Amino acid sequence: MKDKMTSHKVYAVWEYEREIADLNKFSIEGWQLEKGGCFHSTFVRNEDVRYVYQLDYAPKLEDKEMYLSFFEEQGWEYMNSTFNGWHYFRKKYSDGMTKEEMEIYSDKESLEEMQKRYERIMWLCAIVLTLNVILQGSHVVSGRVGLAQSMLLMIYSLGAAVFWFMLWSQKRKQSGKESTFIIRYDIVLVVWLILFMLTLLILFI
Amino acid sequence: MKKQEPLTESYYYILLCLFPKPLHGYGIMQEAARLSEGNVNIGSGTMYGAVNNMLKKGWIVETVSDDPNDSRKRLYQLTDEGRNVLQAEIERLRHLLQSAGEVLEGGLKHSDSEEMLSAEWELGTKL
Repeated sequence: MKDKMTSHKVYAVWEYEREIADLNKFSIEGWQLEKGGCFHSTFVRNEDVRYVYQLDYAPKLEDKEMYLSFFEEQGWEYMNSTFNGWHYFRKKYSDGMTKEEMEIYSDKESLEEMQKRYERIMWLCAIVLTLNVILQGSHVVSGRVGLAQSMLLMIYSLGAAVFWFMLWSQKRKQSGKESTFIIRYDIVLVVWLILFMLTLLILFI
Repeated sequence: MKKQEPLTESYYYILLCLFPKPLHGYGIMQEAARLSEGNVNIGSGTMYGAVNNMLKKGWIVETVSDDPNDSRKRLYQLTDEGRNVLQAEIERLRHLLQSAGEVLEGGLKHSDSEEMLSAEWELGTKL
């Protein structure tokens, strides 16, 4: 049996909890994360251990040594960081471990502080995409444009809608409302790609 | 001093733990858990965020241990400003309890029922 595995699963920023859940599930199945990445994660086969994982988003660290010391002293093993500021930590699982021991944020306020850091990127994406929608929309409305231009408008609109919806959904979750719907990034990507291909097809026919 | 926002439980316990003497991160975590009888377990991410914020605000400073065995670890020490913030918070909490005491004692005077009396007395002792 193979003892190495590579995963190219991509998660959107708002899906980091799903990524953690997946890593924990893989660990139970005997695949232990070796190196985490945005587009490329590697796992090694080891059925004798089980880890619990945590992800932290901290793109601007003035003193990384100090940052890591807080994790190491509570038994978190630092694995690696991604280029855009996500840090991977793991801890050996043991029976009777409390929920607090498995999480790096112990209160609502600090968790939201972390989430606000990545929400800034979401705001930026939402605003840029909305500006594109307005620009492209005015082209489409003002004159006789091809189908391709209209398709592009659809792509931008879809993107903007996803970001605005997830920002709204995050706020809802933070104010304590249950049952938030999380948009699966990969499904949006597939829809997006199909639309893009169609646009290209129309452009070149 | 300008009126400040109430401290979060984690911030409050971190300042409180540093009041007697400087501690390192793990020491703060353990002391907070001990003082709160296991109710406040400050996680690594929460601890880093709070300590980093307090360093920036000047409530605490970094220092090194006199103990040569422990010199590698960073200790955090309360500054005068941090002490003031903690004292202001304790004062605020004392006021909250005072208000509760006032209301509950007032309730006792107006109440005729034996049952009500004992229930309120219980609540009073808990507070």
